[in-house]
Amino acid sequence: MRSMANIHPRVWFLYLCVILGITMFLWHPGVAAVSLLGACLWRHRLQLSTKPAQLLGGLFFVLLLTGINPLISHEGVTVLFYLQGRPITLEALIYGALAAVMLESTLLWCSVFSNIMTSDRLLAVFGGRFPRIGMVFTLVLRFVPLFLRQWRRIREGQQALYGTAQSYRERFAGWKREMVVMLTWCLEHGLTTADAMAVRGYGNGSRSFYERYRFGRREAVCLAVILLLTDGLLVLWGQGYLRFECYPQIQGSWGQPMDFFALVLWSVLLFAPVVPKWRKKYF
Amino acid sequence: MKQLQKYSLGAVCLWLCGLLLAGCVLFGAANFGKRCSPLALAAPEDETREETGEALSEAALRSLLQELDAVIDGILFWKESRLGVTNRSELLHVLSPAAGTSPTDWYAAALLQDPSYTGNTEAYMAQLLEVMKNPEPTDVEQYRRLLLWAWGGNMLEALPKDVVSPETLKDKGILSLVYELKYCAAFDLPVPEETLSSLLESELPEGGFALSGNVADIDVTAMTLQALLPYKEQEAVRDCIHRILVVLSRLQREDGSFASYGTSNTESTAQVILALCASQEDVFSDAFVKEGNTLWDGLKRFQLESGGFAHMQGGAENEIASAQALYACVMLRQNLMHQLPEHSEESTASTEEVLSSQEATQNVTQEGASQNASQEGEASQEKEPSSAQNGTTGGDGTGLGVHSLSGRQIKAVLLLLVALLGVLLMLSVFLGEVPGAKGERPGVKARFLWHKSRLLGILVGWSVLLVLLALFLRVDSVSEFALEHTLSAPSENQDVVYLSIDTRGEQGFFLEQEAFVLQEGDTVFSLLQRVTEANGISLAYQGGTFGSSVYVQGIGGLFEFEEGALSGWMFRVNGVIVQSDCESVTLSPGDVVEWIYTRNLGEDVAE
Repeated sequence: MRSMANIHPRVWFLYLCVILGITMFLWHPGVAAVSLLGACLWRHRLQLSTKPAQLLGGLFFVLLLTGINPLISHEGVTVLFYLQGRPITLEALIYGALAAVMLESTLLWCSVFSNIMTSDRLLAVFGGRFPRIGMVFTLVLRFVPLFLRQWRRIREGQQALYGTAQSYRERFAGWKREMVVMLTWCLEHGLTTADAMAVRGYGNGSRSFYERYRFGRREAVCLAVILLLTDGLLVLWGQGYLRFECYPQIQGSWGQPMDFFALVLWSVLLFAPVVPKWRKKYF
Repeated sequence: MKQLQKYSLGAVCLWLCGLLLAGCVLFGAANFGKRCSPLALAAPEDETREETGEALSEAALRSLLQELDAVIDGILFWKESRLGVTNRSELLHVLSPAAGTSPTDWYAAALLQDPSYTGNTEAYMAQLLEVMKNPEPTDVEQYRRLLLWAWGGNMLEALPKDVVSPETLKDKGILSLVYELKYCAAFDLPVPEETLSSLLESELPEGGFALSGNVADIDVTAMTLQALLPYKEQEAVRDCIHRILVVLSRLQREDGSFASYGTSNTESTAQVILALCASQEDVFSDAFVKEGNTLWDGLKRFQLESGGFAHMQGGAENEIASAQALYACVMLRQNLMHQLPEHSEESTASTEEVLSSQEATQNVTQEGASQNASQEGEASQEKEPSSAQNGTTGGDGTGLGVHSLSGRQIKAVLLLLVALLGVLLMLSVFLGEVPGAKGERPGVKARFLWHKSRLLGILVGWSVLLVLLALFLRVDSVSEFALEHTLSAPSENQDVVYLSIDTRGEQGFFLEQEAFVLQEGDTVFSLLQRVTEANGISLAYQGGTFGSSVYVQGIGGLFEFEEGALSGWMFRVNGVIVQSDCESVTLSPGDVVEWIYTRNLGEDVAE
């Protein structure tokens, strides 16, 4: 039995891109709420941190953004009350809440994305056809964690040498030193990497590519299901469902049967892979 | 396997909960959306009153009076267009040939009672006198005419000898008793003890009064209440009045109206309003608010688009219904005018006079109410398609909860929310991990310090924020804000400037050209700000702090760039486009400022 983790990365890539795209560009409270819930469930299934602190932090972030928008934007016609003589409108408040939920779920989905799309999978996505793009992608994605890891090592070394910083001045001086070491390390590391790649024959004509993943019947079925669900969602959107306008007045379609149907499609797309029964079978 | 099913069930439940939550939020939003029509932002004052049932605030009173004026105007306009009258002061004159007959007497009563009506009454009174000489009147009719005569400012002694005396026509029906009481009160005759006691005796065992049968009839009960009021010094009468009020309050329908013979109708509702106005009860007291609908809500839902009133929902315009509604509106307006603070100060001297005439007028109303009952049958037959129904009904759903809160309360809620946000931040930090490598355990002391400093920082910062907000935050509820920014109409010796706000599009004028008092140092922007605040039009602008230039982005929810890349708000002063900061343009008396929404970078405004 092949596990779900072995599904071809191109299917994964498409799936995550579709989810991110719809989350970011389909502005509708229902879509945003389902997306946020889906992201939380995915993170839970992937055993990413779901500690209360992080959830509370997310809640704080969402509430803060919700509160800030009506302070800045005074669009909308339903004045709730006046703050410092400026109207606080219901529309701005709802717009803020929607934007905050959308942003939070996008961030969570990005963490899911980076967790699933490891560098080997990314390379497999771009495969033999776009080797350079795949190469750059993996290098870039690897860079930040690598940088942080190296920084921590340097700090530990510095602390072993000079002891823990006692005052702000010492701490600042420590940072300065660490940064200088980091810079030289980066340059050196870049040279080493380039040399190592040259030795392995990069840049000397075309190369063959070893495909670890197979694009079989299962991949085709998954792809078909994803495309079908996405198509259904987009067609419904094109028909005027799942529309939402905040300004100048809240308008849109919700509560109609077809809206609920569209939300069900969206939920199936998000939740199907994390339903425990299937997960146990494939992961 | 069972375990797995449990898990998937849990996931589905969670998902459903999420959908439910989203649904709740959405439906809440849907209700909000329905409630707010653009530019009708001043309306919420009404809701404040309807929801709390407390004494009306001045702002609410004023908006209610405006509404009343509009309804009265609508009825008169409808009647005038029926008669082909173009000048309102001629209305009574045109009506005079029909004096002494039921619906016409009602218009006369309402018009004469209205202090703002300036018309000639002589022709009407003369015709009334003629009708009273008719040899075979019914007693109720004759009483009504006599009451109108009294109320027109005439004395009993002035009556010619050949007018038929109503006492000779007595039939001792309940309406006859009611009318006799009113007649005696109107002409200051001695108290008719016998009539009074027989009226009190005819009270139904369950309270209330009726022409016949055991079920209280609203019209008759309300009329009886009006008749009993002048005699409320007597204890038996006072108790009866109290019982009648209880019965009336109990019989009010959920939509605020009253029903007679099972159908909510204009006349019954109008009669109760008249009775409450006459007894100086608060028409908007809690006892007469059902499901948030007041008596006034109950009455105005019968108005049709033409301005006239229908007898019942879905019916066509009806003469008696319109006349009674007009009368109830006029009396209600008088009643409310007395509640206005400055009005009562100005006119304490005239109050008594007005009140006595008010009581006299009440008497005239009775007749129509009795006709009411006979009209029931006819009216229910002439059912019109409900498409004729006016849009004034409906829209009475639950209001925004915020509107019933005062600014101070909203501020308290806001501060509480900010404090909660701080607690949330502290919790998320406190429960968070100590920064550092995985598996690396910093010393206990370092960990403690790290937490302590961070928590202390948040605590102090948030407390300072809260204190600052509590000190310097200014929060006004919508009604408070409107009240604070109400503009007084310019008087003759004041300098004025003219302002209009024109969208040049579907929405038409946000503000038709109007004169406003010019204040010292007024600029184009300060004028716009003042007027939009007073009219509940939202205004969005950038800048203005510390003397920086001001740019107006949107007025009344219509923003720049909404109708193309070249669209936005521009202003003209005396017909000339000014392409500069609106805060820097100082106004002088007589200036005409026009704010116009351009779609072509001002080229279309220049015309």
